Amino acid sequence: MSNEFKTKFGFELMRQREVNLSSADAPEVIQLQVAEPSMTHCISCGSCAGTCTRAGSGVSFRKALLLIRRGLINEAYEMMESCVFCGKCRFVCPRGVNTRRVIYELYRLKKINHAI
Amino acid sequence: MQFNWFVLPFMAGMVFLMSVVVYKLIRWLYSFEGDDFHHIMKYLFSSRTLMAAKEIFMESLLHRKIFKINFKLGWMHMSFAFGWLLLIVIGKLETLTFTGDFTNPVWYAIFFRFFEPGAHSFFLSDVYAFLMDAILLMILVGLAMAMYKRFQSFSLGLKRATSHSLGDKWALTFIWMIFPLRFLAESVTAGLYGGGSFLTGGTGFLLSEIPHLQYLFYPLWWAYSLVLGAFFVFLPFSRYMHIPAEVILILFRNWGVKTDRLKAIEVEACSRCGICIDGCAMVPANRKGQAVYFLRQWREGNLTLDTAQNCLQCGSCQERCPVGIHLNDLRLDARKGFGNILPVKASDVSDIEGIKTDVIYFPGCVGRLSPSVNQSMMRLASLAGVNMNQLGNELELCCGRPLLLSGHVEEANLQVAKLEKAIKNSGAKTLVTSCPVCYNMFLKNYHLKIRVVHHSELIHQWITERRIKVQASGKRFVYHDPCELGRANGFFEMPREVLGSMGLVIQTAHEKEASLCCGGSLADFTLTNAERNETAVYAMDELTAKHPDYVVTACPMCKKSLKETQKGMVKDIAEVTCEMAIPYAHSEQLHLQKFIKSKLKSADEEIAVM
Repeated sequence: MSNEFKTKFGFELMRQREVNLSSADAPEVIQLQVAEPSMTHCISCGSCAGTCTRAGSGVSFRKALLLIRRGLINEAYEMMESCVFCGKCRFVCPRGVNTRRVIYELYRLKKINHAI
Repeated sequence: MQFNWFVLPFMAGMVFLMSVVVYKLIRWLYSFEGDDFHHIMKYLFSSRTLMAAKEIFMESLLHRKIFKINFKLGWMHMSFAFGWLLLIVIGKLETLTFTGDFTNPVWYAIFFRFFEPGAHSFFLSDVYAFLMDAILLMILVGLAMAMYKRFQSFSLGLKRATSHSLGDKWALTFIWMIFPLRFLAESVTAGLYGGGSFLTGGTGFLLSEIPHLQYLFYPLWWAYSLVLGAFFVFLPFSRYMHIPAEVILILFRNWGVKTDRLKAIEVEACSRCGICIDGCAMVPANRKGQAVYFLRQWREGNLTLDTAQNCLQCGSCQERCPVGIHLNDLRLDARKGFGNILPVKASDVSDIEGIKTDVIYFPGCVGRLSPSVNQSMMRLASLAGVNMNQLGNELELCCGRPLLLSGHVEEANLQVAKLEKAIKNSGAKTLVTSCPVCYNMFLKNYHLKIRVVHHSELIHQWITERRIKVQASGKRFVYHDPCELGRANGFFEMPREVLGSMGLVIQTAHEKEASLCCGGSLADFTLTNAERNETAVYAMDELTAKHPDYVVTACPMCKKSLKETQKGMVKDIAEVTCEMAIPYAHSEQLHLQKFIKSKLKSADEEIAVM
């Protein structure tokens, strides 16, 4: 919003002072959120990690999503490298996060944008 | 030699079409490999060619498969395809009888009424005139049905029609104009010079009332030739390419060319009839990318990743396709074409020891999420007296199908190798799985030398062998065919027989090959939860239309997805069987007898001691 908000009535509207936290997010995170909005529903309960087929290989969707939220996309990507897309996490998620799509979009992002 | 300048557009179109078809044929042949040519040469002069000819007659001309879907729709296609061929063949025979010379020019037979106007009497001339008119009428009726269908698709049994691209609409316009113009041209000729049978003769008689009719005569024949020529020019670039491509496809298929080398032909053999759309599982969720649009994008070279991904791989389109295009394989191929985006790490195979057992039970990934099915299976096995053990609870095992579905063959093969080793180490003779996805994978991508069964098959076997006994109840069941079990493997009757021994199996509108997708498919990565739910709700509504007690399925994915819509009603076939099984049958009965005997013995001993 523009700082100059003088109206013809002679007074000024208050400048928006709200700190937009999401503007601090890396563009990749925004991109992921746009691609799969259900990503933001996560409450980090850990059901996904608890049922994971590849848990022994260090895969944890809960941790990966936390990493994504902190902008550590590369780390999240490395964590999900052993995922086999069995879809168990999606079935058990109490918040209806479309987990497979989040992972899929994460991979796509990595492929499109090699720099991350 | 009979000639008039107006035949030139027709001939130009014809020559152009022929050269394009020959060019494409050479390109297709070029893509074949050594063993394909070996097969073609081997089967060229064998009964396979006759079988191909029969198939071409039944499918390309009579459209048997479309008749099966809807009689009116089949009639429309037949009257067009078969009618046109008859028109050409009988027209040629007519000119042959008239001139006594088979080598007359191509255009002579097509424009016979122009070159020889009026009534001629030669051998069977009246019969020929009648036949030509009757066939023209048949085509015109088919055309009227086609036009009506374009605006009211449900009238011929299709809920949705394809929305065509501009090029297809042009080609469609020309094909619509061909036969009315022929009819008019022949009628005007008959009106001016006489001749013609009941249709063209009668209309000609009516038209002869119009003054200066002769001015229409030459322009109409020109228009007929122009439209024919224009259609031939448009044909190779429009959906009508399916006419030559389907014939070529059927021939090569019968001559034993490998299916994956026929892909280029299959893409062009799609007629965009839109029969696949009505069966598509993506329709309830309102998603784009049905088989017909997917193939169109592929052909036009603007295939997007989204279209390649928008598919649940339920196989309904493949089942409905009148041309028999392998749509599932094509879709997976397209996904592969977009390259690997998953860098799945190789899993370590060396550490697998596994368990030792006779029968190994593999519930699959999602199967492990429904413990009641696994417990039911274990209980049934103990009732039947079978040594069965579950595999892979602690091992990170996946059949590899989800990776294969996303187009990652190498990564999938790593999973396959790992699981294969675990199964071999167990020393089992039989592998049971409760997951149709795994079952399909075991059959098609694994090299296991042991028997692979789906759990419903095993339950069926135990019941027929009387290893377990089930009680009949008054329950009403509806069986939902999982796509990877039914359509992919033709597995329809056994689960129904099992359920039939326990209650009444009600038939539904969407059964067996026409089964609906539950939405739980692993093949689609971009499907949102709302769309998934919509698919499941639609399937559940159709399944519960006749108010059954239970909706029974044999797939953990189907069970989970359908259960989300209506809890308590959806059950796996193992759960139902376990519920209805009579306890203490066979082994448990033996156990009980032993137990009672030992108790009696000890009681006797106690008495003896006293």
